[in-house]
Amino acid sequence: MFRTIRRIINWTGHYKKRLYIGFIYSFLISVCSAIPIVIAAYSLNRILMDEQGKEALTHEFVLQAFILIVVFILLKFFFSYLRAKSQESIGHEVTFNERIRIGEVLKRVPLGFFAKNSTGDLTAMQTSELSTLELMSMKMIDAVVNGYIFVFATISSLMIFSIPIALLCIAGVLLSGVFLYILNKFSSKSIDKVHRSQEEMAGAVIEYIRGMGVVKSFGKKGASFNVIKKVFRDNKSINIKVNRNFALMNCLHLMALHGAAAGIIWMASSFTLQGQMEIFHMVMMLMFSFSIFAKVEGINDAAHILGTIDAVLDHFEEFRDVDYIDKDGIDVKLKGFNIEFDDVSFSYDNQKVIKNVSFKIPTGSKTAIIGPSGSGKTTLCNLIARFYNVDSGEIRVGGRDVKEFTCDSLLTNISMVFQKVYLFHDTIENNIRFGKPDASMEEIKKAAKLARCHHFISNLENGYHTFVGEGGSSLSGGEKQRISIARAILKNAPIIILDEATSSIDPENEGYIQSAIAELTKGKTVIIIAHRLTTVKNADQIIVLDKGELSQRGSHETLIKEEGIYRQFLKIRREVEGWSL
Amino acid sequence: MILSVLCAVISVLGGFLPYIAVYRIITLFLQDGTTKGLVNYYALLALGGYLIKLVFHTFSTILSHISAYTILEEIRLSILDKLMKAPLGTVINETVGRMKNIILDRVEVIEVPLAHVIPEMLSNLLLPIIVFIYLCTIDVVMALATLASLPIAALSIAIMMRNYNQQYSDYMKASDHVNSVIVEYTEGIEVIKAFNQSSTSYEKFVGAIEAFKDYTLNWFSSTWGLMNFSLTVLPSTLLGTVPIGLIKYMKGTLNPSQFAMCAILSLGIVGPFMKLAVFINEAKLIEYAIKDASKLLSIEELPVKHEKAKLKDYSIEYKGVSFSYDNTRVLKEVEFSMPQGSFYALVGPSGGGKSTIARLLSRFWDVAAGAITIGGVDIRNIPLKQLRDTVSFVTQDNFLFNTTLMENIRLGNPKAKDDEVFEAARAARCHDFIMDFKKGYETTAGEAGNRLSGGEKQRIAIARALLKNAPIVVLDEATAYTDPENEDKIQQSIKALIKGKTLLVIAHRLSTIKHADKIILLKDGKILAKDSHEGLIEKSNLYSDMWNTHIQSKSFIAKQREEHYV
Repeated sequence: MFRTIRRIINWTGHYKKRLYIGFIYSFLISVCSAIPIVIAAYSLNRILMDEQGKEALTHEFVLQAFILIVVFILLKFFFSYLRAKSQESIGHEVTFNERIRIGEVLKRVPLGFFAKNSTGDLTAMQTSELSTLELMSMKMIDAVVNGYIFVFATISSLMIFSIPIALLCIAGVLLSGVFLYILNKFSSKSIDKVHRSQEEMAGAVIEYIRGMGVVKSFGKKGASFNVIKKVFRDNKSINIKVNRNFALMNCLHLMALHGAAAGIIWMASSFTLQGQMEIFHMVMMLMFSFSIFAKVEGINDAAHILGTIDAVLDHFEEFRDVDYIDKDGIDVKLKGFNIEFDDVSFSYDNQKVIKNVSFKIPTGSKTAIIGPSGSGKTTLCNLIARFYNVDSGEIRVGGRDVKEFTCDSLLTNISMVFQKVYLFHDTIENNIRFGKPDASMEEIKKAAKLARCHHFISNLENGYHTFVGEGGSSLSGGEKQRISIARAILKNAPIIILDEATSSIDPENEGYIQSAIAELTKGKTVIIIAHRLTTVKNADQIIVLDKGELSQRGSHETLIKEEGIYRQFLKIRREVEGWSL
Repeated sequence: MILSVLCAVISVLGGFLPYIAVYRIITLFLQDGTTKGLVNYYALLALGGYLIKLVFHTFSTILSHISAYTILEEIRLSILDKLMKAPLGTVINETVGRMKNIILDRVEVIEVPLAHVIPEMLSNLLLPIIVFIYLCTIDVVMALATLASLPIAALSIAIMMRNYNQQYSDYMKASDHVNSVIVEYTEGIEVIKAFNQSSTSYEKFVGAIEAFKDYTLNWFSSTWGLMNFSLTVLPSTLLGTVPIGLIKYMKGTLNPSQFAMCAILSLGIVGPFMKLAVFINEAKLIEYAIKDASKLLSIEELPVKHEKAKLKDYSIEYKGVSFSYDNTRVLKEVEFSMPQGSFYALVGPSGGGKSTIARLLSRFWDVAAGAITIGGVDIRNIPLKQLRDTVSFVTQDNFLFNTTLMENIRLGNPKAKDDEVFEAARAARCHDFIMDFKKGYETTAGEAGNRLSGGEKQRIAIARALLKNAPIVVLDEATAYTDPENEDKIQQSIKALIKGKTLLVIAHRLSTIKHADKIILLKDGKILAKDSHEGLIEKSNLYSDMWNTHIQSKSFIAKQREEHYV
């Protein structure tokens, strides 16, 4: 628990100073809260003195007492305000810096990074996880650190009156600390369990809903319902168990404090009975026994939440040590755009995916890559764009090793069009302009016409100013695809890498997508993961991959004469393309 | 739950004992009647009070959690049950994410009031009331004096909350905005990088985050003043107790021990007051959660029949079928009939109603007017189970359950023997790749996970349908193009599936369905024509245009390619 607090304090970085100043204010707040109690006790003393006829109670004293209480309430308010000012904003400010930092990291990591870290995780980290820190971290610091400051400040003032009672209080706080520590341990352990159970539930619910069509059409309602019932039941029992442990520890924690409070009552009254303490002091002690531990009592919830915060902080620390693939890269300007693979091997997750592949692609030529699924076609393309570094061998673009480039300067030369299209929540115009930020409206329209999307865009109510829904949801798959092609046309990169599966997204409009692609690739150096006969037949060079190895290479005319995968491919494609029901 | 409340009440009463003990001790001292024994007795009483408070509080918390989580479970199960009985169309219209959010996260919110508010709120409310009543028995004026700080704090809270709702919803908006910018930046980072737009997008990203920070800080810092004022004043109950107590003493209407008691009790009220303030804040969230959950619970169910219907054959007839969706007419008096064993295709521009016609046959929704019959029986009079055994609906949505591949296929016919499963898998061309897994058919869909391509999942789904062997098959032709690398295998599996069946196809590529017995041409929810391919070419301009475009686009691409490559 205290480790987590220390981590949060470290997390605040150079705001630490303000945090510490806040602690001083907290101390002053404690003093200001304690003094009215002393005044109350002192008032009682005056009453007793009056009773015994020692000193009469005056209206003046009443006024003084009232004014003093008011003054200390105001002082307390003043210090609370100052504390809030110096501490509470830190959470927001640090979160701000953290978000920017992650943005920075994302900007610089190679694209391969996103194969290992799903964008979903990254988004969760920047939104919900950081929000937890933003909103909770300072509250927790306040609850725990300031809670203890309060209790120890009060205890040290008790010290003046009675050392044994002060020691008793310290013992109570320490004992409760032990239980809080255990409680925190419990929480961090159970958070994992609860978390896993929640994920299981989420998985089960999603499966249930997404599979509902299947379940219904196969009349298997019972089976899937039983699964989800079990998951729910498990979740329930885990939660109940966790909460039971929590409640028990919490009970012990409070017991320590309340025990100490009862002890104060006993000790103070016994001391007074033995004449070792004045009645006035005793009354004060008794009053303090009710409020002294109030803030420490509340730490139980904090101990729970700190477990969550700890997990979040873990996550962030992991993220701190990513390294950038292009640290030593320079901005390279290219003259030619030929691509060369020189004995390239690459493994992914300890599995060799590309094995000793060598070939050359001259500037302005078309190369089709074919091969069974899992033969490494996509990996090959990703390596050209340096999403990953090769294990051995060299890939050269325009005669320069891709490792010499910064990622940015390499990608200036390459446009990639894949099945997964991402459009921004912005106008269609701006989505296309993304390919070239300084493009004029004329250029954008021209690109849209070439990509065969001008027509449907013009038919939309707001034309080019139509907003694309999140993830581009208001448009059909084929339309989104064509907008992404328009974007690539506008970028006008000399090298085009594309996956022909793209056109299958929307079988009704595949003709349009095909012609958009034809426009995009005109006059460029093209590498295409091919599925169609015509594409393959018309390529200058065909590369046939099989299990990561280059199995055949050459033009259609040469390959057709060879025995091998290529012939098989042709046969299947002929059948497929002539398919009818 | 009642037991939990009872425990909470006992706990509160127990918590009150130490106050009485302290009061007695002070009184004893002031009256000089103290003895060692009495001190010990009252100190023990205080300790005992605390014990009772804690033990019963713990009991109450545990009990309330048990009942809270049981209630959550019940709510969730009844929502799921409801969804199962609702028309499928209604369910698939909601995004899965949103449903999940309601069933899990929103319902979870209800846990707080159930498990915490009841025991804790109760005790926090009860204690001040008991204290107040007790104070009243001592002295009514003193009781009121204790609450002196309340109106001041209440006033400042009221000022603070004046435009809280507005501020809060603005804040949520700002927060949503910054989240969506973050999501977009992160999800779109690949595109951003591919187009070298890192710096511009990054600036936008930074701008949004900065604006959000400024907004939040502005708002929060504007509340710090009043917030801290309220939080300082609210617990300062001594403000009234001490001066008024002193005055009353001087007037002779309050004795010293009563003064002490009032001072002590006024401190005791503080804690519960503060907690109460926090709970009130949470009430809003809970209200929304309950609203969402009950919306799902009030979905209308699809009426079902239970007696098995006698179908004379597997012919299908649409009689004057109309259907509206969100107040838009999607189908207008659609009329056609398919004999058993025939092959019909639905074609037309997208948005014309092809999928809706097909879905109505599976009762995703019920028709608004007219009727659909199978073998002469209105499908609304066929029990759902029987309807499902009769119609197989093969779509691109190739969902696999996280169980073994064997069970995923067997779902088609739970009674099927292993051999029959293998046979279906072979026919659907998935036997080979399943055997490539180390555990073969015992591999779970989760384990296979990313290693299954879209086409492979599709073929497993087809194997499932094969095993089910329903006499009527509705096929979304796009299914065949799920995975261009394995198109051939999917096509073969579809061929196996449709053999000898009454077949209705939602068509996208005209060449695929030109051999259909009848092609139904749809536009804007109406049937324009129904005929064979040859007939339509002759009769319908729309169809022959579509056909020509289809053919042309095939050759057009080829031609264009050749121009480039020469």
